[in-house]
Formats: sequence, C-alpha cells, structure tokens
Amino acid sequence: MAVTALPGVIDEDLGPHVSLAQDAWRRFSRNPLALVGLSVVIILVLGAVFAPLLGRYDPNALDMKLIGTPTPPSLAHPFGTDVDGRDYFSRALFGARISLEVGFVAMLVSISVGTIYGSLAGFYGGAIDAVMMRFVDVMLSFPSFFLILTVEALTNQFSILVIMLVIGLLSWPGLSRLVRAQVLSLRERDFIVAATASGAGDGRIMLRHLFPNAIAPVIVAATLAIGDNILTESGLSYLGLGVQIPTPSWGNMLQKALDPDTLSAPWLIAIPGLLILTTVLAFNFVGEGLRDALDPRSKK
Amino acid sequence: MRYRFPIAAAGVLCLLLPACAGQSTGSSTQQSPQQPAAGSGKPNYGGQLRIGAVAAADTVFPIFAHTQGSGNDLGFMYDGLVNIDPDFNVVPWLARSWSVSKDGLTYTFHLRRDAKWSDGQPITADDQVFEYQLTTNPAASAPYKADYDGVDSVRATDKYTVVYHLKSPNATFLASIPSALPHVPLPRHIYGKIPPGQLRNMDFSQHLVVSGPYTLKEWKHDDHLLLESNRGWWHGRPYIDEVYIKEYESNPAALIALQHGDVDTSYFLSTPMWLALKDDARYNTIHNPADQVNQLAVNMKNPILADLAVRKAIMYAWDRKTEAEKLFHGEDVPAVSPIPWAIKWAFDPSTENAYPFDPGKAEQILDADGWKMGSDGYRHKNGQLLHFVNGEIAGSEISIKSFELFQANLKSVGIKTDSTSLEFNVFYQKEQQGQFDLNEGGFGGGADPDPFISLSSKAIPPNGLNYGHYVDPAMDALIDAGRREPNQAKRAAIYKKLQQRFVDRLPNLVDNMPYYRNVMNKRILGFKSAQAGSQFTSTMFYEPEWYIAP
Amino acid sequence: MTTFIARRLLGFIPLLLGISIVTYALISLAPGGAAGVLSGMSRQSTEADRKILLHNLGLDRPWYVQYFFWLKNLVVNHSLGTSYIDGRPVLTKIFEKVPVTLEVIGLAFACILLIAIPIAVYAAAHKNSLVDHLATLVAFIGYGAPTFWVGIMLLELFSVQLRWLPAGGLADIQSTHFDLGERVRHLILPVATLTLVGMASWMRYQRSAMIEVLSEDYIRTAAAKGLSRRTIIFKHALRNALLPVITLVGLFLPALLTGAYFVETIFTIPGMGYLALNAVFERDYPVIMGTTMLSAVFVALGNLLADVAYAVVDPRIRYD
Repeated sequence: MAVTALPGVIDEDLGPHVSLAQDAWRRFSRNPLALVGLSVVIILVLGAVFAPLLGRYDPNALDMKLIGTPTPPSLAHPFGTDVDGRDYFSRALFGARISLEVGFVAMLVSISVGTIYGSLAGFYGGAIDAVMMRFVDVMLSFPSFFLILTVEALTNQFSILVIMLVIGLLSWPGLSRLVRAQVLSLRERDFIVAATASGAGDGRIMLRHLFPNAIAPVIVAATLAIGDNILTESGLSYLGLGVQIPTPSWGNMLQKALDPDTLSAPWLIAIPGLLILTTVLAFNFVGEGLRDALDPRSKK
Repeated sequence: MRYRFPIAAAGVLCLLLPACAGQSTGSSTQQSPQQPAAGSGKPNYGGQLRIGAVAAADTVFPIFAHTQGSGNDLGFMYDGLVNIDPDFNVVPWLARSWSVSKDGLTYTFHLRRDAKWSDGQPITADDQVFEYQLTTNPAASAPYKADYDGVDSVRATDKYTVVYHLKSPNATFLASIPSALPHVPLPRHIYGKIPPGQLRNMDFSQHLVVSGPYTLKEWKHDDHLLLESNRGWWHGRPYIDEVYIKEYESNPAALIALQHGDVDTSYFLSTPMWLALKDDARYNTIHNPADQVNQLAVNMKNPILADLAVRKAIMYAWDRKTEAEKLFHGEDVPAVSPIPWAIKWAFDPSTENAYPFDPGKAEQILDADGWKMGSDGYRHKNGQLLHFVNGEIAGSEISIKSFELFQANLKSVGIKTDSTSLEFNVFYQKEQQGQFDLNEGGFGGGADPDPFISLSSKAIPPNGLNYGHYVDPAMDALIDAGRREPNQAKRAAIYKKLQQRFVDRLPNLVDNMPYYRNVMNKRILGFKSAQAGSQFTSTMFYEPEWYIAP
Repeated sequence: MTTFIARRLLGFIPLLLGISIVTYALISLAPGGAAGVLSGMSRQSTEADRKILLHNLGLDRPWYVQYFFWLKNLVVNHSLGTSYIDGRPVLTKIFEKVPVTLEVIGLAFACILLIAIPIAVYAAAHKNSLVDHLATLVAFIGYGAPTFWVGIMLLELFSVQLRWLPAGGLADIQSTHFDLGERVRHLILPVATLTLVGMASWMRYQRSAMIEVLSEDYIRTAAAKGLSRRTIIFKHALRNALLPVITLVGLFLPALLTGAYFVETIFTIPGMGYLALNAVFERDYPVIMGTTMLSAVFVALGNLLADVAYAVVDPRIRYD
C-alpha cells in the first residue's frame, strides 16, 4: 500500500567547501527523527545478529509445562510466552533476523531490476520508454497473487529465498518509475545536454553523469523499500503464504497470534505488530533523513 | 439430508479467509445431556432467525451446489426422499416408506401424497427422476454427477413411486443418495423445458419453486439470503417466519458478529471460534461428537513412510493428548479409527487408547528399524535422512495451532519435518498428485460409516480421497463386506475388524475425533441442543419446534 | 497536450490488450485449475467427469485459444462472459460491487485530504515545531503498521470490546430500508482504517511541497510587501503547493484500491476486493479477467493523470 515515493524538497543552503558525504552527514545528523530512526535500525540489526546470545531460549523449543496457555511478560520472559510455551522474546529476536533479511534481500532484487529498467527507459525515452513503461503498467495491474502462485509453482517450494524473490519482483515496477522520472528530468539538465553535445557515448553518460545524480533518490527508495518489504511479508503471512513455521518471522508470529483463542493474550498480537511498525517507521525516518541529506538539488 | 465433501476441501470458499480452512462439519447425537432451551409456553409463529455463514451461496439450484455454503442454505429450501435423524438413522421424509429387494439391488420409495411444491403443484416421483436425469446429463455440468455412478437407473413406476436400480448391492446407498443434497426432487413442471446446458446461467432468484420449509424471498449476492416460511410445507408451517442468512468473509468476521450479537447462530464454529464463545452468557451451547475424523494422510509411495515401523514410531512420538487437552482445550479426543465417533453403532471406543504418547517406544522402534541418530539430531539409515514434508492449506486454523507441536514431538525422537502451506487450489492439486509425504485432511460429513472413499484401493485419486495411495486387499475385502451387509449389527462386527486392521496397519495417522460445536442465542426457544448438528438444517427441521417468543 | 492525451488514450488499447494477455496466460499457467474447484468438492468426481466439465466451460483448449474467444466475445458482444461459479454475467457482478468500493475509497480519500492537508500546511508553516513532529509520528504509525493489523485492532477495540460500532457489513441485519446514520456507523471503521493507512504519504508530500513553495522568491516578496502570514499561506502558497501534490492522485488510486481489498475482507463489505479475491481463489477466470481489466483501467487512468500533471507542473518535461 506504499505510495511511490517522490523526491522531497530541501530548503537548506550549505557552504561549498565540504565533500558530499560530509555534507550529507552534517545535514542528516541535524535531523532528530533521522537519528532516532538510525539508532533503532542499528539496535534491530544488532539484536538480529546477536539473537542467539541475547535470547536465553531456543526460539523453537516448546515448553510442555506452559503449552496451551500463553503467559504474560515477566522477568524470565520479557515478552511472555506464546501458546506453544515458547519464549516470545527469543522468537521476536530471531523473527527480526528473518524479517530484516527478507526486507533487505527483496530490496536488493527490486532496486537492481528497477534501477536498470527505469534508467534505460528514462534515458532512451521516446518509443522505447513508451513500450517499457507500458510494461510497467502491465506489471502493476495484474493480480500479484498469481505471480506468487506462479513462482511457487515454478520453484515447487516456499523457502525464504522464494519469498524474498517474490516480494522483490512485486515491488520493482514502482521503483523503475521513480528512477525513470528522475532520469527523465536529469536528461534535460544542462550538464547532460552539454555532455551529449560534446559527443559522449550513451554508456558513458549513463555511468558518469546520470547514475551519480540519480543515485540519491534510489538510496532513499531502497531504505524505504526495506520497511515496505517487511510489511508485504506480514501481508503474505496473514494469508498463510509467507515464511513457513516454525521459523519465526514477525509476519507469521502475528498470523499465529490472530487465532481468536489467544485474543485474551493481547501482547502476542501487539508485540510483532509494534515491531513491524517500529521497523518500518525507523527505515522511513532514515530514508527521509537521507533524502534531505542527499538530494543533489540542494546543492544550488 | 446430508451434504458431503472431503474435509480437506471444506474451506474452499473461505480460503481467503485465512482462518477458516481445515475445520468442517460435525454432527449430533442425542448423547448430550443438555436440556432444551426451555420455552415458557406454547410455540408461537413469527420472528426472524439470523444465521452467520462463512462462504457465500453460489446457487439456489441444488444440482449446481458444490460448496458447503450453498449446501447449508439449500437445506432450508429442499427436502429429500429420506432424512437422517440425530442418531444417524435413516427416517422417512418425502418418502413415507421404502423397501429393498432381496438381492439388495432395487430400492422402491413410496412418496407421501400431501407434499406440494411451493407453487401448489404436487411433488411426484417424476420430479426425482428429473433430478437424476439432469445430474447425469453431461451437458448440465453437475458437480455431483459421479454419485450416480453406482446407480443403473431411476424410474417412476407410478405418480408416487420411485425405483432405483443399483449396479451392485450397497448398504450405504440409503444414507448417501436419496437422503443427500443435492439429490432431491426438482420441479420438472418449472425447469423441464429448459435445455440442461442453459440451466447454469439461469437467474433462479426470482420465483424459485421449492419443496422445503422455507422459500427464497430475497438474495443479495455475497451479502445475504432472506427466506420466508413455506406455509404450505407438508410438515406444517414452521414457527419462525423468516430466516436471514448473513454471509461473512471469514471466520474472524463471523466470530465478531456473534460476539457483537448481530446473528443468533452460525452454521458451524471452528475450534477457536467456539472457545471464544462458549462462556458467553447470551448463548445456549451445542456440543456433540462430530461425524468427522481429523488426520494426516500418509503417502505410501514414499518408501520410508511405506515402512509400517516408521508410521508406528510417529504415532507413539506424537503427543496427541497434550494437543487435544492443552492446545484444543479438551475440544477433541485422540482416537485411531477411520470411523467418526459420532456414528456410535460403528465406532470402536477401544481405538481411543491406541498409540498412547510414548517417545521411548518410538525410539526403540526406530532403533530396531535401523534408523541411527546422527550428530545433527536426526536419524539416518543408509545415508538417508528421516525427513518428511507436510502439506497444509494456507491459513488452516488447525495447522497453525497444532503443527509446531507435532514437529517438536517428532524432532525429539529424531524425525525431521517441514511444513509447506499452500493456497487451497494448489494444495488440492498437489494432494491429488500425491506430492506431499504427509498432508492434513480429514473426512466425514457422511451419515454412513463406510470408509471406502478414504481407504479403498479403488478410491485412489482422482477416483476418491485415498490420498495416501494405500493398497491393502484385506482392507478392501472388509470395506466390500461392510457395503454388502444390510444388517446393522453384522455390519458393526465387520467394522470392528476393519478398525482393528486400521490400528495395526495405520493407513493414515489419525489425529483426533472432534466435537461439533455451536452456539444459539437464548432468544431462540424450544430448540434441543442435541439436535443441531453439522447438517444444521436437516436436524433443525427433523423436529421443527424452534420458535422465537414475541 | 491534447494530442498527448489523445495519443495516450489510444495507447490504452494495446496496454489493456497486453494486460489481458498476460493475465490470461498467468491464470491459465498458475497451479490449481478451474476444474479442481468445480469438481473438487465432489467426493467421487472421476477424471471423465472432470473432462466433461472442462469441455463444457471451453477449458479443454489451449489458453491462447480460450483467450481469443474471450476477446472475441468482448469485441463482438461487448460481454465479459459469465461466471463459472454462479453462471451470472461478469458485468452484472462487477456493477453490483463497484459502487460500494467507490464509496469506501471516496470517503477515505476525502477524509485523508480533509485531515492531511490542514495538518501538513500547519506543520510546514511551523517547521520542526512540536505539532510538526507529532503529526509526522502519527502519520507514520498509520503508514508503518500492516493494514490488516490496524483494521483488526480497531475492530477488536471499538466493536468487540467497547461495542460502540458495528462489526462489519454496510447495514444492520434487522434494517429493511436505507438509513443514513446506520450507514455512517458502519463505514466509520473501514474508512478510518484506510485513512490512517493512507494519510502518511499524503501528509508528507503536502508538507514538503508547502515548504518548497514557502521558500520561493515570490512568497518572500509577498512577505516583504507586508501581506499577512495567513494571506500568504492560504492565498498564495497553498494554491501552488497543491499543484504538485495533485500528481499523486493518479499514483494514489491503485494503492487505495489495494488497501480497500484488505479492508473489505476484514469488515465484510461486499465490494470489488471481495469479488476479485473470491474469484482468484475459486479460479473463476471470467471474473478474474473482468476485475483485473477494471483495475487496469484505474491504474492506466491514474498514470495518465500523473503524467499530464507532471508536465503541467514541470515545464522542463515535454512529451511531444
């Protein structure tokens, strides 16, 4: 349900004597929300990486004494236990691993496809652009559900890798449109027109002039995409077509918690929901911060 | 009037409804000690019963009904020749009596003469013949055509006599065909002139002519049906004037409607729905053994699973007691039988004690069978890992709830299992092709205990529901003997042997026998809780004494 | 510009053709065919019966032949065919549902605009104020949470626990005639869910656009001329800041449609989402084609709108 991001707008002016990266960091670090977002992302990544050390329990180990009745958060189990008597904190940590992994890898897929596709369309324009963009329209219009089923049929399995691939393949068209719009607008800029006039080849123009200038919104979109992909995984899990149990992902934890039987244990629903929310939020704040910090248009 | 379907398929229409696949019908017996919801006085006419349905009606014309949703709705509108009482006995209905020839091949039904269509025309033997002709006509595309494969002919010998000739003797015939929707008489005088191929595209919602207690007043597709009592119904005018069937998109939506008090009852409640509602003071409860078996089908084409020792080890390692008591809150009972416990005359209660939880024994069996524990925590034999893939319907409430326990149980004795949950249609296709090692499923919804459809070597897909491709001549012989034997006591003896063989050979891994559960708003009076079963409508009208106080 | 629009409208024909071919191919190649659903319920449906069924539906031909007949029926008879499941014309089924979905989407969109624009304008005018940060936070909470989660949470709280609002549907079961108040009560939760989820993007874009406009020279000139801040914001800035945001309408429409599908499922609203999702699960090819084509038209119109708006806003982009 994410709406394609559009380049933001910057109102700050900075001195000419700093490098782009330093500039960007200076602006980024002045943005409190972006810093909060970045800290949260770092904490989440650390939590995911060190999940086996932080979680005191095996996330998949059922506790036969606790099974059947979820227990509320306590000192021993900071997030309580789920209906199978498993430590919810450990599951949340390992779930962070899977959810972040899905978000990140799917982002790589969609960014690679989307950037290449979008810049080709935007650069060549005309008939090529028209045909390519119409294909994007086609991709955006048919029921994505069949794409999932078809990929599933072709691979004959439902591994995490397939989930990542499917989510990536679902989200590149929007990105390609963004990149194309960027390239389309850059193409008319004086420095590109000048480069073309001086006889530079297509490849050189794309690599030397277009990509560096179009990369900022792509980085921003990539950051935002990680959050969106985590959301998509939870949607797939809601339909039972996401990461397969018992491997915990926040999406399938939420699905399991929505069992009417455990509605009396609201923390089971709240925790994965809030984790997804926090993560998407954090990536968005970072993305927004990056946008403000990186947008080359601010270099007036 | 029974509506039959494989349980694995029960969720079909509600598949998007993540939480609904897997659990299906159940039924009733009179064993429940619950008292009728006492009415203060005499029943009165009037009022509206509101039912929450999950899965929308597709049709109101019986021969096209292929979903559970339509089946329940149609039960209000059409009567069959015979009916099934709450004890699973076949009782007279539109036919006041019947006889069976000595060779068991000919069934003759004598229809009541006072039964009329809702337009006032008499219901005749020819109307039943019309249904037979329509269903078996390939042009009509009737989904239940195959039901008549064992029937040689259906004829009307006079205005009120129908004669069925079977190809071979079949003791299950009465409880399966003349009692079951969609094989009910249809008004030839209304639909007889329409080419069968065009019937499918007809708009039946206007002036539908029916034989049952209620007529169709209004049908808003994917939203609701409004039914009105058929004052000329042969059984007498129903007390409740209107039935409003509200169609919900999912189990959770239906549950919330019940919690909110929007509807009085539901066609069926899944276990989680039941648990959320059973203590609600606004409702009377219905809680009876269901005519259903929940099980894992075992793929015998997998050589590891074809090994009986492995199947036995799985059963001993599987803590079905904890599952039933803790995860399902005692809402089902472990038993190892292909015959639903609701059909008491045929069910062998000793099967409830088969394969108690005993992981030590499971390990012994596996050790003896040559499966050695490896350093990875799983067992191996000849370089092969002891590993199975379990197929599930995406969003199945039962799997979501219980698969992880099963998996943990098996892991503790060194058996690795993975689950793959698939959208229903894909699941069904792969199940047909035998692509899973184990798959969730079950069967039931039949008034007859005959397990032919899930165990016979003649019922291997696509010809039946023997998804495990289980071939056992001894089992086939017992099934055939049970089908041939008209005497119930003798059949029961045959089925006792059959269940013994089932326990010994484990063609399927039976998980449990569930209850049929439902709730009924206390404003509905005079209803006997023991009576309402899976076949909601037929049991409801078997003794139609329900009413709503003014 | 007129020629551009005319050309794009003409371009819809190959686009819709392309979408219909891809969709038809995809649904035909996807696992779990139509016959499985139609005969799968039957306990003893044989292979032969299944073949008859497929033949009667014309599904025993290769998918491109089926597609050809689908197209021919559309062009010659202007018909989208009849549903495999209930035999009713696809167009009838679609027109039954479209108004409901449009009602939900329309109301949600109105709410988004009514809430998001004033807050965004205020936030832009008071950049980095507490209100600005709070608004950003609240907006992102709606954005970051899964739609179904938001819907279920609202349902659980307001309908099940507090019992303030109905649990689903568009009218009370008992009601026999249309009642405005009743309708409104039923629409509160679904519209609120969609609004919460969709508001964030809108608010952010509007805020950015407003900040950009406020930093333009002519605004500074206006301020220098002594015009009141109020006049500047509402008379000059807002009008110009709304323009770039309008380009979003086109891109927003399909997203709103997807959101509506989830919302319809959760709140039992028989709209397009209900129809489309059921059709997919039932493998009701004609209905899938019908609903897909409709959403394709939506997306195409939205894109056209976005492209036209881009050109209007940024004169550097030329399409000719």
